[in-house]
Amino acid sequence: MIRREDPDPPLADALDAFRAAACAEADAHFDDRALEVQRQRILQRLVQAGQPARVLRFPGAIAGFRPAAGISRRWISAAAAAGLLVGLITGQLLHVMPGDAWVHRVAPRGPQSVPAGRMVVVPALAATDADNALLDAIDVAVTSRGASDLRAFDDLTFAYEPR
Amino acid sequence: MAGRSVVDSGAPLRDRVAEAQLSPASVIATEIKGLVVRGERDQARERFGALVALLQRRALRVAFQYLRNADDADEAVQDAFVKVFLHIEQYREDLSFDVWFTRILVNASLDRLKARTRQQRFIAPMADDDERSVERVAATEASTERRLLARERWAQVTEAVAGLPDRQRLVFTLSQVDEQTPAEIAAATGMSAATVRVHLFRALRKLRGILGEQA
Repeated sequence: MIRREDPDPPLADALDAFRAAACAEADAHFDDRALEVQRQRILQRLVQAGQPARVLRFPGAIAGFRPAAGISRRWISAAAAAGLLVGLITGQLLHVMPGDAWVHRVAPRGPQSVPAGRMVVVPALAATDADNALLDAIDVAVTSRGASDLRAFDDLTFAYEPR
Repeated sequence: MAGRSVVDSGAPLRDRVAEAQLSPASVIATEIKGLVVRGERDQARERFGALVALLQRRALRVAFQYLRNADDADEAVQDAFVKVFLHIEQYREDLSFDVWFTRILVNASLDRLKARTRQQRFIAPMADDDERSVERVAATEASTERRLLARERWAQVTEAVAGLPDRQRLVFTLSQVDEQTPAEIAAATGMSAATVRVHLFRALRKLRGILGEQA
């Protein structure tokens, strides 16, 4: 061992003290009783390791399930009926209200809102014009002379036509 | 390391150890391997109890010194023994069982250390275990003066060892606590013997420097 070869007495003493104290410290944590308990645990784990894995059964039928106490079926039925009624009334109101009023509700407020009786342009629809302008610009670019030089390359590549 | 304390001191085992010049642990491990190969697992488990008793204390000292926590050391040693039994068929009788076991123990301790590091990212430490250890070790000394000296020295050395890099600490622990030779440490850790010597040299030099500063 290096410790014995070391000529430095203070270091050798310190290492001796270290080894003795380290062993004493570990032994203080693990007395004979703890060693026996650990041995039994190891053997127990070995027994379990040799057995096939347990398969947990899926919980049985939930036929016995009942609502929590305090919530009677009558209240649940009343809540469902009330919900249905509110839905029906809302639907009828939407039909009864005049068209302009509905358009006013849907159209955005502010500078884009238009007087009643005129057609409302929703921003999503307005974007279609911009898209068309962009597609036109692409068509012009593709049919221009500079781009036509690339058609030879385009013909060599696989053409995928979406259906 | 081979041939230290023998729990099962029956004559047949002693004779076989003397004949084969193997450690008692190697002889028992060979027996267990034979039982497992023949499918006699119950008998193998019973025999394994003797092997555990033989190596248990030594393993706990090493694991505790490395992990600095009794619960972690307990778990690491259990894991190591379980792995040994589950892979006993891979044990080569021509090699030292003690070295093979040390390798498994070191790996189990490292696994435990990694798991603890992951846990400590989320959980704050409960108490200073090292401080309590110092008190416990110092309390074993007889006189008050010796107790104080032992406490001071133990605290210095423990702190110095704890400050070593991981590999140096591992090599130092196996060398000083488990009294393994550099060749045995090399076989157990997968390092070359020269690397082990370098780590030991550096660890001792560092400790000498720290202790010199504190003196």
